Amino acid sequence: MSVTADETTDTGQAEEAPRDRVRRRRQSGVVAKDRDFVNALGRGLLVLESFSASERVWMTSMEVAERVGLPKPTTSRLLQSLKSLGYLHYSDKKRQYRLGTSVLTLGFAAREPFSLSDLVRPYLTELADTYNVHASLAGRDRLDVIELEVCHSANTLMTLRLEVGSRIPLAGTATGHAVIAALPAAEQEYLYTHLKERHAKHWKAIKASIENGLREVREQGFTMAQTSWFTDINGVAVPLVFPGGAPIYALACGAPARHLPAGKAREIGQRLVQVARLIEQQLLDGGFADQSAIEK
Amino acid sequence: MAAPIVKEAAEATEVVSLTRGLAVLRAFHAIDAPLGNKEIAERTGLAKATVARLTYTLTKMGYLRQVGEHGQYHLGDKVTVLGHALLRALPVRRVAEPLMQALADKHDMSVALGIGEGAHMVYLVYCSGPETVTMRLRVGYLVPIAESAMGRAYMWALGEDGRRKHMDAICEAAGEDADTIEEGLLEKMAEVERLGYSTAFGDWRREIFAVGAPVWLDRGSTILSLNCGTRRRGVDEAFFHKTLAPDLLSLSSELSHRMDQLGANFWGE
Repeated sequence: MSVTADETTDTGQAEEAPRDRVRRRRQSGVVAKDRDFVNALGRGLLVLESFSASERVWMTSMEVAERVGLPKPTTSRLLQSLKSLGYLHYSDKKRQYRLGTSVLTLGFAAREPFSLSDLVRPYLTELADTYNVHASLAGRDRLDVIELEVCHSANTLMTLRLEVGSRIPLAGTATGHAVIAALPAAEQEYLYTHLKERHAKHWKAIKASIENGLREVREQGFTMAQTSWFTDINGVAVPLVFPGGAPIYALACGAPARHLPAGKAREIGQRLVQVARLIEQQLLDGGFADQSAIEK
Repeated sequence: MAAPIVKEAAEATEVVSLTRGLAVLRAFHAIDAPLGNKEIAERTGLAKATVARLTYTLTKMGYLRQVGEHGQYHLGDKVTVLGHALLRALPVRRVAEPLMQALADKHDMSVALGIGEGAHMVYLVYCSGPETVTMRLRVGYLVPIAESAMGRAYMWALGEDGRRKHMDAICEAAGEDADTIEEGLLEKMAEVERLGYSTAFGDWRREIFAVGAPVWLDRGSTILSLNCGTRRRGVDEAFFHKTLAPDLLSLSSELSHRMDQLGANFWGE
């Protein structure tokens, strides 16, 4: 099938983010390399997802164009199309766009019963309630970690303000390090070159902290980060790998530093390792399969 | 001379590709196991070769992922991220949720708030009572307008102009049965006109009984709809008329009132 053939030709750039791909292809004007990639669809999705990638609800056509790196006329046209299809809403008053309710019809409900989130959610609840922490399932999006499922501790005073869709940096966080640890070596190398660009100023310290994280994962299965990210948050995380080696996620727990001393973090880390193995086993056993038949 | 024509054609193709790609995502329904290119082609009416390129692109972009030994597709993380981004940015959800949960707890039923999308209502908020037998409904769920209490109340409240596009979508989806479905829906809308709320006693799913009530926001320029329902367990219809419907109607007006008080509108403009 053409899809398989294409994947072979594409392995050279397997690590390239879709956004970069679209941009590169637009600039080069060459499509021969990846003939099966539907550019118009790729661009449209970039425009659409620029609204979920930031805290901004409303954006002007210009802002979207800057964000996705497409020419303004192209962006305007795509915004118009997405609006007429109901996926975006346009305010005459604000002269700005935002997500429309039709995005929920793109399989949002369909995804849930089979999703990893469903499988993971009970474990996150258990972790959050047992240890009074914020527990999450996260995946990688370029140089960020993106929260896919979160559970706040019942004691809401101590929780972190990370919701589904929130982003935290890949470098310098326990969650990020757990994700990096599970990546193949070649992909790690590639990431380093990009992280170095982003964190040019503190690269030495950041690289040391990533390497420390990788060593911790190797030695004990989990990694801890003290006062990472916004400097007042302690985190502990494990990689969660799909059978077959991809995709890669992380399970993580976090709390304000004073609520998560090293001893407690270590205890959580050990539990996280067990939980990750349990989930991976369920994935192998087909726990990911259709459960809709089990109506109560 | 030829250049603008070529350009126009290219732009038209662009919209077609985008529409088709999104149609592939829409082809997944709540009860689905992963789908192969062939099944997606059947559901969307697109050629299999076209579907293969679209699924390939959607997978690369994180909207689909391949699962199982036959490399079938299921929805990817980006779908969830997009949905949650929308839900976060709908102020009505925060205002409605506590009110709806209180009603769900009071009667131990499920209560949902939805908006029309083509031939369906899509759930924006869903609350269930402490002992509610799961109906596998949730935010993002689509229920057919014509057969549901929520949809009937919504259509009635929309008025002539607003309901036309939904009626067209309903008739298109119904195919040969379009006339019967339209007639049935109009009859049910007359009931809303008479009572102020709608009912559906096993019309959508045999085991589900529900009442529905419209919600007017933004001085009537945004219409939503509420339902309150349960799986039938010895509940008689009189209870829906006498107790649930009045409760749902006051929930509706309370919701509009609170939104006004907060100076909040549906789109957060």
